[in-house]
Amino acid sequence: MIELRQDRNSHQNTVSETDARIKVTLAVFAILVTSLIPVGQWWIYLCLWVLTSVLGIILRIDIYKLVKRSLLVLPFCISTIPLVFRSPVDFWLPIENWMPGINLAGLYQALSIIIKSIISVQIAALLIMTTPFGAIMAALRAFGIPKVLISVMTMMWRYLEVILDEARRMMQARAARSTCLAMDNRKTGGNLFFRATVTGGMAGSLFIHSLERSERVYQAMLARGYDGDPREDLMGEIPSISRSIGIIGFSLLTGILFLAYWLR
Amino acid sequence: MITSKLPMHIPDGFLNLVVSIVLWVISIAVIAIALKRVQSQMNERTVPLMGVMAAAIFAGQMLNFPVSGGTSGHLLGAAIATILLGPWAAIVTITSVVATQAIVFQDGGLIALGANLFNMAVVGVAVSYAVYKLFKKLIKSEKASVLVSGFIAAWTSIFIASLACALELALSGTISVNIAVPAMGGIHAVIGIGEGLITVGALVFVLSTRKDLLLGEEKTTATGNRGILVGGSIITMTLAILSPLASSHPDGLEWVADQKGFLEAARDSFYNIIPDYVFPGIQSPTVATIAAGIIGSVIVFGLAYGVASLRQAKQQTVEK
Amino acid sequence: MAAAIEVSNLVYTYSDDMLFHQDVSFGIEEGEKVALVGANGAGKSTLLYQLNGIFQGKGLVRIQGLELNQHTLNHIRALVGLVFEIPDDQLFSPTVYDDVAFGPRYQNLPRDVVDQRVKQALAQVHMEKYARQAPLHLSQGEKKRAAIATVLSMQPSILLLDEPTNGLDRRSRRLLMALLHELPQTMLIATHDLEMALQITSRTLLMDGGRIVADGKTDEILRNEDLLLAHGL
Repeated sequence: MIELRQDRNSHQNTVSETDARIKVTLAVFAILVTSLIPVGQWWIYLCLWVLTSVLGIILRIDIYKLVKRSLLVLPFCISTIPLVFRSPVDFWLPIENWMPGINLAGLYQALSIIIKSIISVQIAALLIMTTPFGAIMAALRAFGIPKVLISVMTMMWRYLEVILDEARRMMQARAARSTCLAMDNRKTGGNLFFRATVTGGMAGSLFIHSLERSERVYQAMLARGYDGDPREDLMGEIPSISRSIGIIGFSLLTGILFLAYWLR
Repeated sequence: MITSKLPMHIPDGFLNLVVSIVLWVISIAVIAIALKRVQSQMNERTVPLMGVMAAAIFAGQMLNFPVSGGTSGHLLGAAIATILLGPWAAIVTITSVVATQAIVFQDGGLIALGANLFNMAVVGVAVSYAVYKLFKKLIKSEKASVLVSGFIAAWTSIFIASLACALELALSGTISVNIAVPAMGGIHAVIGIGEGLITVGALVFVLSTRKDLLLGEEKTTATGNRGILVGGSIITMTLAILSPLASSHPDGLEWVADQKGFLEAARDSFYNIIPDYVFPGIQSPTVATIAAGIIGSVIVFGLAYGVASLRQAKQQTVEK
Repeated sequence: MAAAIEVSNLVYTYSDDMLFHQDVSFGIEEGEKVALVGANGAGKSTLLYQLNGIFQGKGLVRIQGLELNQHTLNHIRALVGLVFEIPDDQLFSPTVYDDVAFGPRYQNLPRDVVDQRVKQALAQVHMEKYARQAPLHLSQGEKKRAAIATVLSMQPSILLLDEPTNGLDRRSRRLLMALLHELPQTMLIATHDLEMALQITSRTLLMDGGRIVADGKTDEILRNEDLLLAHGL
């Protein structure tokens, strides 16, 4: 299932300790820059990818984990295939009996989309792998996201592991009763309708339990003086180190963007 | 780690920036309204109720059942959330879930988040609500009306959300519309059945334990919810009609977009707008080079300044 | 005759490479009722979960002579009924009847057989009247009994129970203990409830730090204060 314990790198260095507001801004800006790079700027893509990888190394991120996350875009990448095989055809693939025709512009477009997508995932992964969820929430609050929404998401995060655990145990309990009598593994499991509705029952059970739990949480909050207005710890000044890192990052990214257009 | 198994969380890089921004604006507006409505309905209960239920929906999406050949069916939960919590609360909870999936698990992009929120939290919820309310009125028997309406609402929410997704990808030039709509629509028409069945299973459970949550509610739609009812109906019909229309007349879609200069503008201008901005009307290559040089220097200077101030700041921290 | 449960050299590690069970070996005969005792974290639940394949460790597990592996998993789960600690996790259907029927239905048994199994199981736990009730509305004790019924309907010959008397009031506890005493199945019961173990089980396995540190008559082990103290109880 999911591991919620965040992949915190054990080493904390200057870069990873940057103020969350700067990190979030840079990450989003980096993804924006990535999406603005024109099609076919292979050297720039390489540049960006090398940068994120270097950053990953500086931050002592498990590169394997980083790569694994990039693979998330694969299902959507399949959707770019039609871009490649369309008319006008630039050259034909010499595959027997088939002869698919490739449109070069389409190929470049498809590859660009895939590469940019992978780079974007890596940037986002770097952010979460070096910043606790709570810090990101605080940064979003500082950017003006309503207090209520931030509190809701923080509360969700608090109870996510507990409720995920409950879901996991339910599935284990179901697995323990999912059996077959004979050893020939003949088809068991009832029909689709049965399996789907049982799963629905499990969801319903999860929701009702959670509803009741939320009532208990509410009572506990009231008992500790909650009045509907979440108190917040405002983030202080952005430390100068973080400011500097922000400037460096912003300049670097802007530079890359200009370079991309200049080379066009 | 793919947290949701439905192919509806669009990653970054697939959507045109203009499309993304427009959808961000719409999503933010709707979510802001939802937050206000929820707070006025639930007061101090808002945070614990929304927070814990968001966790429940997130966890609910992890439940699965084997379909065939290694694939499994999952829940999105927009419909069941809408039916149990009401449309505004559903928007808030699904927003929390989708945003967390993007931020923490990279399931869906960060810039594309606006579009994903639009598809799942706004369209998914609005459509569920409209369809549920409609069919509930049509069917007499209380229990049957909840279950049948629930199934149809769940199926429709998935199907229509997928159409929205397809149109967004088509408008961005990523997939041509006459592939996107049938493909996304077709796949999700099937996936929607799973969503429908799971929703029914959940509703049966709730009916047997907490009937009060489902039956005997408002006979007429509360004024606050009328907006969503109307909005949901409009979205459903628009997308249902527009998609096959666009799909069979791909040129038609381009024509429409061209008429507003939108598509062309969206496709190329962002690629062109910056150079023009940077070198406004500069014809001479020499001047262009000088201009580039100046800009380059500014960037390098910025970098150098940044590094220097970093060093200085570090020293200051050490000295403290 | 093959032993009911046979475990040799079981080793289990957590995903973050923490060695958990080391070299656990024991055997349980047909009809034996055995208590699995130990402090929290000693490894009782994890051990139970390995006996029906929910967790997969290294080493040999044999149920009635049949080796536990990927192929035999589903079949063994029909022989070994696991009753989880939190009844709410196992009662995920709208009515008690549906929950108890899940096992047989999953086995694709004909409807009348399913019905018969459910009635039998409910009768065994003395909950026939609760068939149409929603599990959520039951008391803690009733939920525990219902959970046992959900497993009994598959007619297992072995029962694994994880903290069955946890959280029960005096009366419910007494009823549950009487039930466990009545049921004919071979049992391995993980528990903190030493009094229950003394009353129901003939043999006790004492666990500490992932190892079995004592294996003998319940009477002897559970009355040995020094032994218990030495291992965290």
